[in-house]
Amino acid sequence: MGEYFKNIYSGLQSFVAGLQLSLHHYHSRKKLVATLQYPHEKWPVEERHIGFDLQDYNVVRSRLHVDINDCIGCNQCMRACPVDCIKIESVKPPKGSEFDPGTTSNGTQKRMLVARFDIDLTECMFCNLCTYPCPEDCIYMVGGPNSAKHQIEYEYSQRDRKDLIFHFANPPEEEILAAGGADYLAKKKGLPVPEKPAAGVAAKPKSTEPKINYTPVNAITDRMTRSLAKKAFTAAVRAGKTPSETAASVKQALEEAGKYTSELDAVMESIGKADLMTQAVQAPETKLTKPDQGGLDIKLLNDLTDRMTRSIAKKAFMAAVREGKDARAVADSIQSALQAANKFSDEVKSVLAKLQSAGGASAATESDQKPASVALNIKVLNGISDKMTRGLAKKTFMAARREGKIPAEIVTEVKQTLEDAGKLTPEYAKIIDSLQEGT
Amino acid sequence: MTSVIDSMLKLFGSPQAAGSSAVSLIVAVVIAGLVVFTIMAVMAIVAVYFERKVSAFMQDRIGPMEVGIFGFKGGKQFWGGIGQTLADTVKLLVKEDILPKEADKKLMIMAPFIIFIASFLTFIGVPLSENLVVSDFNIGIFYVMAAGSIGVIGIILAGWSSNNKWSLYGALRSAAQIISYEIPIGLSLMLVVIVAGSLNFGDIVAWQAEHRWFFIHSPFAFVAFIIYVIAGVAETNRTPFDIPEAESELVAGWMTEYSGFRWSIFFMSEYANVLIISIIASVVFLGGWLSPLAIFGVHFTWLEGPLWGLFWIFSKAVFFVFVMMWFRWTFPRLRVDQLMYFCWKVLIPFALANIIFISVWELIF
Amino acid sequence: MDYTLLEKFNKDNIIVEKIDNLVNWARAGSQWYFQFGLACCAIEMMAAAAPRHDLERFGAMPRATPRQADVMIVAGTVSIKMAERVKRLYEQMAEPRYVISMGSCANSGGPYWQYGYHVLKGVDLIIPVDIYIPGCPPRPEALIEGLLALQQKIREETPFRKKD
Repeated sequence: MGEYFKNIYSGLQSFVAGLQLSLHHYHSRKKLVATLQYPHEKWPVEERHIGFDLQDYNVVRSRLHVDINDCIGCNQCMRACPVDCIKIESVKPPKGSEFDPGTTSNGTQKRMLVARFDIDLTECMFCNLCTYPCPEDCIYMVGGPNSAKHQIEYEYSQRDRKDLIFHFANPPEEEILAAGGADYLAKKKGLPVPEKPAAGVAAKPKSTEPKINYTPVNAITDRMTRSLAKKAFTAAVRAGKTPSETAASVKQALEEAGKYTSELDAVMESIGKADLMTQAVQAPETKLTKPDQGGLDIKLLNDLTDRMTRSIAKKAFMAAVREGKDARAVADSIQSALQAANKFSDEVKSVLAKLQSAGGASAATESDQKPASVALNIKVLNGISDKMTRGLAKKTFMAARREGKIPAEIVTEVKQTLEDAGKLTPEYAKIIDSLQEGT
Repeated sequence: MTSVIDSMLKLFGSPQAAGSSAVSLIVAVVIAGLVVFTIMAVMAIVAVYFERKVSAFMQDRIGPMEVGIFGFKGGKQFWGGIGQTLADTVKLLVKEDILPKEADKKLMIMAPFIIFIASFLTFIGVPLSENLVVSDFNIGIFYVMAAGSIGVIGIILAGWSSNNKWSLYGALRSAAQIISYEIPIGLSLMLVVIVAGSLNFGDIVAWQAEHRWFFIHSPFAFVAFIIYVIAGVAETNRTPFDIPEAESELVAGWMTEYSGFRWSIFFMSEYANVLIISIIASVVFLGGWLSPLAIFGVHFTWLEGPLWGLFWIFSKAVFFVFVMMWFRWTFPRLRVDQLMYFCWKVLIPFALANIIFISVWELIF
Repeated sequence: MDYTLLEKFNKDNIIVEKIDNLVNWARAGSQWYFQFGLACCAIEMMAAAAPRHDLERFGAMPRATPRQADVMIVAGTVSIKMAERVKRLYEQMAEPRYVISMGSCANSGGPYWQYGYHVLKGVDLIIPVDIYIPGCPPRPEALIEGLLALQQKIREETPFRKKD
């Protein structure tokens, strides 16, 4: 009961206190009204210190502006933009042209004509990252410290979205043509661009000179050691040393770096014995780069989604192809490489199958119908008469095959399972062994 | 105190002649109705502008400033926003009228008019000056309370016909609130009736002219005055009792599905209700058309008269309207259960206790 | 302009023009906005409604229900999930209705325009926009200027006159 009256009393107290506050605000409105009446009065006005001075840092985040005459077309701002809202296209006058793009206000000689400099202000997030890398300070946010160059402007709403894409560079067509941009203009207008030999450096045909053979050095597993070894190897081979001299210099380099271990003795021996240069580029290798020739295509491996898997697979692929293996062997080596790295999965299996069927048309054998590279036929297990045993054997077979085990392993596993269940008879064992024989 | 209709009837011809009495009655009624409607409309316009300005000042900003009329251009001067409400009204008139497909069309059309009729009828019994009342009921207070309750029907209809469950919630909450808070209002006015001895507004003011203004008549009458003001704020669905129209709770409550002209009728009746409550407060508790110097029964005849009476009533009513706006920007919104608790467990016991005590007081003094 | 008297009378007359002016003045001077704050631009919209820069000076009262609102200020990123609701609310507004697209995200998807799989690249893909306000977020003064630009656009309308 006392609580009730206490509540009422405190209610009345807060009632009166609140009313006093509002009334105070109403009566002191001349002093307390904080409104800055926008169209008639604009910020910034000199008022209390907000932490930094407007002249040092543009607090207002206004519009971006480009003094296009200062732009040298270096694309630094385009690269710095996190949102890719700056689009720059420039035309470089060819060697020996008399076109002079001019100088910037800082005295730098321009070398390119900037034909297009669009900033899409509906995509921009006004982070100012583009203003920092500009070597000529030609892109900047207006106002604040740049008030001398351009007054502050943050109210520029438009009725149409296209009007918010600011085109800063509008050189007339004659200028672009004078700068050698006929191709650029043609492409812009959608006309076909004429084929011509590349200006400047003539295209080099694929070199058929013998290259350095790095196979013995690639046997080194540790990356750091391998790179040191390769550097020394290359230097030695280029200096024209014999294989044993090369081995000695490699060993010396590794010893100096403190990375020589006794395991690398074998590697040094193989260097001493190997051919240092490969033969000229052979025809089979071109199969790799032209997909329409129906050969093994490394691009098929792009279906693998996981990056690590893909890279391991591709490395194995290239190694296998260099050794001259056929499609099946290539697929096998990829599979073993991935299994060693614990990355073999169903997806890999299907990709490898595609690889085999694409590249191994000539090497296709009659039993190569199953998708897995393990071409065991489960129907062989139908020879087991007892239903329970047959079921168990088939289940184990499928499970092992899904895990990607090699044929010998599958056979062992099936036999093991049946033995554990106490159902392995010599007859069944023979049938299971015949699985492998079918391959 | 004679009523306007009676005086107009006398103006247009004697009531004996059969034909002319009907015609003159109709003409008198229509003119009175138009006058009342004009007062309501003008009041709504002025009140909305007033409210926006006052709310702005209490929130440290300035209200409408840029919309001016007829040469009073918008801008930085203090008269900057005078044309604001007129612009609002015209805009609402030409807005599209939406009736949702699944809504109950007849009820939706009827609801604003019922609310409007409720306010309109209440205005008929409310006096504006000594001789200026549309109809001088001798059960004035009772009639005003009764006519004001009709508005609840309109609210419930509006919420129901919108076919929107949130509108329905808002409408039912609003109905519960209005019905509940009529009890403390009735009890406080009853106190005045007990002391003055009549339900007629004229008699009540006459009593105040003889003795003293009611709000200082006795401590119990003062408490009744406070109860009346608080319950009056709740009657009109204004903050802190505006759960039915709260923006963050129910979008716009029972008015959500109304647009354009229909909504402007709701808006207008809300402000008309505010005005009614204020005028009744000023008539019953603050002496009506008596000048402030007559608080203790002292009269200066040069400060009284029909026009002066109008001035005094309006200034006191405006004071109450300001108090309502003041409440709006001071207090946070009450939750529904707190609202009901407040009415039934605080206001009503106090009002009942008041009546008992005032009867004792009357017996003693 | 030489029109005949009859043509002039049919095309435009002083009464209809004055009514047009009155209606346009009323509509422009009392734009009740439907506060549709979705993301960071909503803070700037609130700041514009706050005492420092007061939107109510221009007659813009915030209304929470689309039925009573004139202009919808889409402030913030419109995700694909929200896009359906935006369209629905736009359709619930009473004519004449206007849309102001505030900030980069509502203009064209903003910083998410290239890789944002969840963002609608510009609210004008689903509703017709009258004014685009650039900025990320735009200052309250920029929003006010956008509102003034919308008022100017409204004053150029001809609701009762025949368009030329």
